[in-house]
Amino acid sequence: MSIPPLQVSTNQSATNLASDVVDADNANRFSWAPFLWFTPAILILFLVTLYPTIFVFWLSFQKTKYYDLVGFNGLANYVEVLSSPEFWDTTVISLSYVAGSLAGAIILGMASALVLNRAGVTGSALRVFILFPWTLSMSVVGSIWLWLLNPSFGPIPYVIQKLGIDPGLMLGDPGMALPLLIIVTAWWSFPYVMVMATAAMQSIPKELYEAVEIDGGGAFVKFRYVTLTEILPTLGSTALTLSIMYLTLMTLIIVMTGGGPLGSTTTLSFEAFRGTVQAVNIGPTAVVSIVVLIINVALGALYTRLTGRVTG
Amino acid sequence: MSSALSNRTTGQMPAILGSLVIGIIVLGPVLWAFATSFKTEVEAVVVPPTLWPNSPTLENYTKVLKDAAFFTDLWNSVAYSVGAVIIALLVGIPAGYAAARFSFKGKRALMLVVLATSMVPGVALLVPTYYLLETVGLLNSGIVVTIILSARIIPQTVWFIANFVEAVPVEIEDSAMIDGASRFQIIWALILPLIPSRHSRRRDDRHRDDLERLYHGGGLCARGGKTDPAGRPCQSGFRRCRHFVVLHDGLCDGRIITGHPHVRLRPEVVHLRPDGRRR
Repeated sequence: MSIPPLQVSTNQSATNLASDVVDADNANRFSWAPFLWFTPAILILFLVTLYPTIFVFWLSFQKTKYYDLVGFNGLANYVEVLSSPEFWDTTVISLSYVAGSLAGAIILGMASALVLNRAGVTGSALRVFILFPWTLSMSVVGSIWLWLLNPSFGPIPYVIQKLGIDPGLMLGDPGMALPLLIIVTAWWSFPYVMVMATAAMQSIPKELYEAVEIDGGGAFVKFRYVTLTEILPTLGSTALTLSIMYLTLMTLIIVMTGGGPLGSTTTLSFEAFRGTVQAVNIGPTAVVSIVVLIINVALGALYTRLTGRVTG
Repeated sequence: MSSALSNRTTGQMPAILGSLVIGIIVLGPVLWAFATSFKTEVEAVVVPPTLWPNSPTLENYTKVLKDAAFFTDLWNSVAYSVGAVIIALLVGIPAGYAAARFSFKGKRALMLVVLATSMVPGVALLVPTYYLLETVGLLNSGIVVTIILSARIIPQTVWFIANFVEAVPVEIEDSAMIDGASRFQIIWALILPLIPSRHSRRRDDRHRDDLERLYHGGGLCARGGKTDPAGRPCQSGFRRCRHFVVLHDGLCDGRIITGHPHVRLRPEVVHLRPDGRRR
């Protein structure tokens, strides 16, 4: 892991007054004083994040009736959730949603990064505007698209009808709702991919492209062996960031479909939300929450490992 | 000159057209929503849909602004977000400062715990949070919402502030301390004003990435050309690139080094060596 430069210098120079006051000479000697500086932050994090995290595990072993705990339940909640077909349907929907949105965002983002990079001044000017959806809140994005996709008066079903295809119920159609949700999610998040890809592309040395040209490589070779190779690490970390976001995304689903129709857009996160709000039996909901938590932490750990952001 | 320019523009034509298509895909829905806000209620739902309002009206805007609930909603949005940021800064500045300036046993573990809390998704904590708040009777409290929101941004705040403070030369603090300034005065009057936006985390990362690309895996890259001594192009696989340590030995690339915010401030201590050992 890389060490931030100043940290090294701070550790090395024993003459540093400001850093010496609290024990910079001897990093191995234990002292409570520095921890006091962390107390307020740790207190809030403990109350809001750490304690509820422990509590959700405890909750998952409890027999629950609405919001009342009525005794220890062992692994019954886990058995109930993991053996129910609904849970696996929800998991499949979640994974399809994440994979679909990710594919859409990356393909659109890469395409727009490539195209805008070649479009000179027009590209630079448009890049600023294309970032716009990413700055919108998800509830606003949801409302706009709810309107656009409205089967009675929305312009998109109207255009589809003019093309001679029956638009159907759009978001009201169990077969269409998830794909449409994926399209909207990709529309909202691809500018992020575009920005990351553009930044990575612009740092690729021109000499590499010249070398390919000298060797007689065409545009595809340049893209495949120079551009893609060089931006792959950036693209990987971007994809992980987005996966984490898609996995825990609820607002868009709440606004656009409310998990329906017929549960066709109920993801694991939405299920956790629905379970909390309906509160018929929160034990199984705790299990679903734990599944989301574990996947998320795994993706987060992978991200940290991949980018090496955790520097001591 | 002008023909060269037009040639170049002609070559860019497909790309320009492509960008315009992307622009329409992205901005179309937003513009349509914007146009709809000026339509009358009847026109907004008319079939076939109109692109631009036939008789533009501000009636929708006045309706929203006259609605008392709108200002309550607006106030709530502002109060929660600004409140959360203020809380995060209040608790994040001391923690970040301590992380940057003090070395103590358990610091790395503490910072990792802080970071790890950001990996726990809020949605997974809905059930326990709701349950706990109901138990203590704090449901529907605005202050609790603000604190919960702040907890979502505290991890980044602590890490960012730590990075910012690291970028400020410690000698400035030393001299202030000699002049009798207290730690609080130092943070308030010295450190915070010295954290300009150019020392943002992003920039810092970018420079670090540049350095890593140059000094990856032991092969020292030549200036600007980004090839190693054997003439092979550098790869930017950051798994291997991570192992450089900033140390004395004079093997540094002038352009990159002077461009680095840390280095510009402390040119005498920061030099690079491509091995992974910490001296």
